[in-house]
Amino acid sequence: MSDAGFVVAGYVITAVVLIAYIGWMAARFRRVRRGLTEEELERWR
Amino acid sequence: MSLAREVWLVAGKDLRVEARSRVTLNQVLPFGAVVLLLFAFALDPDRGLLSEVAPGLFWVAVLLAAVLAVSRSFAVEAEHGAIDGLRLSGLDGASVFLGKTLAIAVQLLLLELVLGIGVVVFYDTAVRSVAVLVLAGVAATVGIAATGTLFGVLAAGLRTRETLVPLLLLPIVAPVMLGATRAFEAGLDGVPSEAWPWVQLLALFAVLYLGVGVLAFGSLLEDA
Amino acid sequence: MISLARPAVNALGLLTLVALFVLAVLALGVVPPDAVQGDAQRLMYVHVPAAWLAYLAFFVTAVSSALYLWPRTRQPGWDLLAGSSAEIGVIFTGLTLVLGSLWGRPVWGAWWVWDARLVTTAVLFFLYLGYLALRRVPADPDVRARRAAIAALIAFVDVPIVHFSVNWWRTLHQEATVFNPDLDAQIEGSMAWTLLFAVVAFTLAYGYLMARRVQLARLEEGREERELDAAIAARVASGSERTDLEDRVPGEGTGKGNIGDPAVAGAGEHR
Repeated sequence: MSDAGFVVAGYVITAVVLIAYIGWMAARFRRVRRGLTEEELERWR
Repeated sequence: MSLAREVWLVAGKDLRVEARSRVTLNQVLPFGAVVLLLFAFALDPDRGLLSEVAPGLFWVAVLLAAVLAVSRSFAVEAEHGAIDGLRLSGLDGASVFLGKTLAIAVQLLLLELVLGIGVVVFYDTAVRSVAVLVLAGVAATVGIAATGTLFGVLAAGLRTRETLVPLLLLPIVAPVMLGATRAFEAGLDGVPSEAWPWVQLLALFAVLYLGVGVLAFGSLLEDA
Repeated sequence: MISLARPAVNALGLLTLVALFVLAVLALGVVPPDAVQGDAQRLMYVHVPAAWLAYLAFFVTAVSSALYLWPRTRQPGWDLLAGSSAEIGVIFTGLTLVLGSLWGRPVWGAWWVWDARLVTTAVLFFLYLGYLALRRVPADPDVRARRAAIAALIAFVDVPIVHFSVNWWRTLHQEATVFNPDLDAQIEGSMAWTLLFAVVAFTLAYGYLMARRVQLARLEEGREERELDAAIAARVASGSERTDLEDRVPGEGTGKGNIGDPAVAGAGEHR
């Protein structure tokens, strides 16, 4: 892999990590707001 | 009651439990020995690697055994609500902490003695300075026992304590592992005088965490 | 306690997004490549601020844990702040290690080098991973908060010792071969400004992520309480005898929402 390849990989990973974390939080926000049924709660744990 | 007496009371209790149940003697010690044996399988004894890395292997074995000793120390309290007795005993949190730390340290030191002899005999290691080994060993052991007792009570009563304690304890004692290994390298087959900075580091670690434990243990014991 | 209104959080998010975009343009397009390392050096503009952010986050965790333990400033909010910050810290420590590896491979020819800074960062990663694991174990919220705060301080005290011992170990044995002098000595103007901008942009990102994470933690805590109330109501209605309330030490807890993990899912703590 060329130097540029490593650089691009690094920036892409940074972006993916940030987006994934924000997305994970958003998903949890939605779950909390919706209010969970017993069954879903069980699965989530 | 004086602090020393309270500490001795708690340590004596734990050591009596061990003297009667012999769990450390019959299970933890053989475990450490097996670990040392397995290292010989992993690192071909014929290439002289074993004696070269003996200090590191020794401390890895001790750390793994320490995790078990800590678990044992608090498993004893979990049975028959013993921990409630400890809480109701009116003993100061600091004394309970120092007592349990002392009991673990004594057991670990005996274990280290046996494993140490094993390392010298079976890994064919030279011994340059017994004083360095003893001082580094004691300082490192007190540090490990103090942090172990802290995390032991922190995880006591939690469902996942068996897996949580090693995860918490091992990174914290990384500097002990490093310092003790360097000191032992110097004391076994190196230049003994090079060990002193590391012995100081180990002592600093031990004192620091004894202090943290004295301050925090009481509140943790109440919650456990 | 730091708590931002929703429009403010959204504005902060937008600002972060713009800053990170500008950073990417600057770092990848505008700044000249390094004289020695070439393009690979462009990873510095994400690696260094990620490391800065990780250390900042752990520092915030330590401070808010201390504030939680201090009786006069004890508030559940400090606990949420400590936990949220540690989570973000762990994520960025992991990112720092990955980015460092990606930078190390072309420049040093190895993914990993036993350099003092790398080892310290790796130990830090595991220290706080353990802290997060401790936080996730269900327990009475007050008890969990106090335990977590003490654990955070135990870990924080360790950081200088780890740093010091590892530094000592590596420098006793060999010269610092990895961090080329050219990196520290002469840093060209536009590079320095870009790096500074990167640190600002990442700090903004930290602020945004923290605001969101604390919001989430608050909501989830509220949900736990609601569930607990519902569970108690259900138990009482069905006339069941056994509840988790029985084996609590009386007088220890104060008020509701204090009685343990939701009994609904049977996740109550067993002694």
